[in-house]
Amino acid sequence: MKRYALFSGILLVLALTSSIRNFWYLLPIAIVLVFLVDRRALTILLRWKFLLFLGILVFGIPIFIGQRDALFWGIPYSRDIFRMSVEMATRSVIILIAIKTFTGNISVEQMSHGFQRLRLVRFSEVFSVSMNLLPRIREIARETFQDFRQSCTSYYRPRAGFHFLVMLMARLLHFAESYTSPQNRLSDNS
Amino acid sequence: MKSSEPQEDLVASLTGGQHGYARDTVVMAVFGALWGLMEVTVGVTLKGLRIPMGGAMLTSLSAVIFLTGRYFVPRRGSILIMGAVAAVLKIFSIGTVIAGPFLAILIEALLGEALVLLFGIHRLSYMLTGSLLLLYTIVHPFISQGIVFGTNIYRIYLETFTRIAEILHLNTEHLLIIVAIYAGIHALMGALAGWVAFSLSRSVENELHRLHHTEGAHS
Repeated sequence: MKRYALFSGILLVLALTSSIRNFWYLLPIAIVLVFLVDRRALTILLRWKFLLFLGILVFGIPIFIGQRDALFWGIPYSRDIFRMSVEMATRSVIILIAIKTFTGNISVEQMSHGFQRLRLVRFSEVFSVSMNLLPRIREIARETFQDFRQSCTSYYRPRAGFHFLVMLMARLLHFAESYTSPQNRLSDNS
Repeated sequence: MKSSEPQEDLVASLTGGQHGYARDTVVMAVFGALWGLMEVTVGVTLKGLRIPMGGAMLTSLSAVIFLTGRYFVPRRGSILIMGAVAAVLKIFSIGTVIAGPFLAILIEALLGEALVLLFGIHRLSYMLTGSLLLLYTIVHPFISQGIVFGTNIYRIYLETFTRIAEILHLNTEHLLIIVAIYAGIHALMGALAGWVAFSLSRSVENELHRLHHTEGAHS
């Protein structure tokens, strides 16, 4: 994990130093490095929505806004806006592949440990309990919905939705309290 | 509702048998799990249906859950822990860590926690928290785009809006009115979520008393 964090950090530094003067070599370097380290991270560049956005940013926006002071095949465009668009596109590509490289190589367990390091000290306890309770919570939600369906005449009234939430949360809290009641007795005795 | 012994042992071992602490741990676990389940089920449905303002609706529902949870666990940091549980459950469901939804849940939790700490626990505070949280959802894309694309993106947006306004013969005031209406709808949705969360907490409290009485009468 540390290796990928360091690698992503290097990519972020590359992204922050990118400009119109160095983008033509920084971008290929970043892409080749990511290809060598974790090529799955590059799949983000194949998303058509992202490519369309970059296309509009680099080729559409300079024609549309700013002082049009240059010509490309007879089409007037703003040199200043074009320079800004190229810088933004380069920066976004490098940052996104850096994030993807990091998040693609971190497990949920490592993420969970990360929370403990962030001084969310009770997180590990709460998370362990929630993972254990999850099947029961699903069961209570299903049972409550069935009871609600039997008792309710119209599901579409806001009041009905509110009533369902009251039933569900009260049952969940009742379950949570009954779940810890043996500890209650223990502490009372001591 | 019966609880199984191994699970009770787990809570006892994790919490050292302190009742208040154990109770709060389980309530946070339950509300965190509920928030996570809602994000997985409702979140995926809203995204799939491409409903307008789906993100705002999801944030409203999240606010209802964590504000109700906070009412029953009046401890500092409880919303943050519920949010962390929900975020990890969400990425568990996806199978891999995707930064977007993960960070969105954590930021919601962080903001919710800060606002409740600031305003306290009462109806008005819940409505304010909901409103500010929903208003933040408008600003959030601009902040994240500022990080990814750099601050020049704001100049691009500003100049694009000005150009569109020119083409449509609108002036800046018209654009501001549109933005204000959009923000107003979000603020109202948030206030409603806060109102519902507080009313829900009160009603759940009454329902819980009723359940205890019923249980007492049966035993």
